[in-house]
Amino acid sequence: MRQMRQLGLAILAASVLAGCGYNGIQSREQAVQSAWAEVVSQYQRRADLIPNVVNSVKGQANFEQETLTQVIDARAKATSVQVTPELVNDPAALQKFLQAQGQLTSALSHLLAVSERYPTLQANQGFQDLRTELEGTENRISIARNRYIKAVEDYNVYISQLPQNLTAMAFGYKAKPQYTVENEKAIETAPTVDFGSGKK
Amino acid sequence: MNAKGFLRFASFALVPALFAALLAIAAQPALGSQARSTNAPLGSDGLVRVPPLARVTDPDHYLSAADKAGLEAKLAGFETSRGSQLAVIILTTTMGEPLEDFAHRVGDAWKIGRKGIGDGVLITVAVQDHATRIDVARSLEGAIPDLAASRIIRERMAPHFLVKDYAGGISSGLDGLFALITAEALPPGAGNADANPMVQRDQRGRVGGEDRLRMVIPFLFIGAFLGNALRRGLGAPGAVVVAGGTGLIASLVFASALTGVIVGFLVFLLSLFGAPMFLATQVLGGRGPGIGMGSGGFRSGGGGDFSGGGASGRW
Repeated sequence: MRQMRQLGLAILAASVLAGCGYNGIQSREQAVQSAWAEVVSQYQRRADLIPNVVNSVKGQANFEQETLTQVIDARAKATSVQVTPELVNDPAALQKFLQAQGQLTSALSHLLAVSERYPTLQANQGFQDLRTELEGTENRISIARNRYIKAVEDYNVYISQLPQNLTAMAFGYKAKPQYTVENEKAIETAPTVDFGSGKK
Repeated sequence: MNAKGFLRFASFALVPALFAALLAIAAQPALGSQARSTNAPLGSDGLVRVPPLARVTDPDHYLSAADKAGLEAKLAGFETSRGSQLAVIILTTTMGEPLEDFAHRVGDAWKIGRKGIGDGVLITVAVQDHATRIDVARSLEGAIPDLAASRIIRERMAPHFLVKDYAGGISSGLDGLFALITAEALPPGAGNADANPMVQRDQRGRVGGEDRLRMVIPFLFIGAFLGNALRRGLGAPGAVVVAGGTGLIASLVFASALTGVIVGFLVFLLSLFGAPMFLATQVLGGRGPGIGMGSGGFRSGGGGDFSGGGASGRW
């Protein structure tokens, strides 16, 4: 009899939790985590490509040293940030990580723009292949980021609605920090904007 | 005609003509800046809308009717033999949007590629932008790495595009993609394994979700009919027998015990309660075709996950 009652209580608790959106919160949080994992792995893929790019550019006589150092420094900075799953819940750490990656993006695009001035690099099949790989990775990064932004949005909207917001409060689920798109844009486009814009 | 008459003629006929000529000259630069445009419908945001699903989309008529039909047949033939779904979009311009973004919107909406396999490839060409792109769904990224896609654009497509031979470039590009996909060990297409090309099965031969829903309905019909008849004759045991039988057959056909159990249960209920229950199941199960349907018998498998694989190129 007592066992029956316990079973009944368990079933009741489960159905109440399901009705309060606990399962929905769980699945959306999982979606955020996996979208984040994809973002991180694409950034990692880019970081792995950079040493090859740097080496092939180094072979180019009198290549702009400053551009090259910027890329190397930005990569070192970006890879020095510890990436943990908790990063998605910490606005400050997330901001730091994204800023570092954004700087690497801009340093790289500057490097690719500068490389256009060197005909021997343009004719170098190895360098062009690396360029294709880099462009593909940047493309994947932007898609992974968009999917992550959507996943976070979905999660944040879901836990702010009744009755899930009560469940979220009871179990300590907080809204996740969103990508700050404006900052990202400013950081990433900075070096490309000053091409002949007549700035004094 | 005297001088006065001529003047009157001039004021009535020539002045408007001059005015029209001036207008035409004034309008020229405006027309020039508008030249890059496409017949594809635009959304409210000024971007080209995702076109309806089709193997070959050519709103601005860069392909002759024969070439278009040829490409469509080529794509359909490959899908029948190998199963992979490829599609081509050629238009004048993406109205300032990067081709990558446009192609990704299309890939995300169409999701071409078999369900559970996800083998889809999308080729986009923006002629006036001199940009082309091959988008590779995630499960084909191994068969068609970015570098291979880039090489296909560079060596097979761009040379044709340079001389405005768009059909030739696309066709040659497809040959390159076909060769790479064929080299990959994917499950064969419907033409080899299954006589019914409208039904997609995954690696284990099971029928995909939407198809299953569609194909379950005849079972319910026949089961309910027989079940009702037997119930009248034998009572509830008759319905049980029919339900069990239908469920068993369904589980064999769909290679899924769960489907069999569900079908059996539904048939049992239908046999006992008849028409009202049947209506209820129709409402619950009768989902529309969703993203599946397209023109010309092309039906997206819905499995392709386009997450940025492939390459872009210019000419």
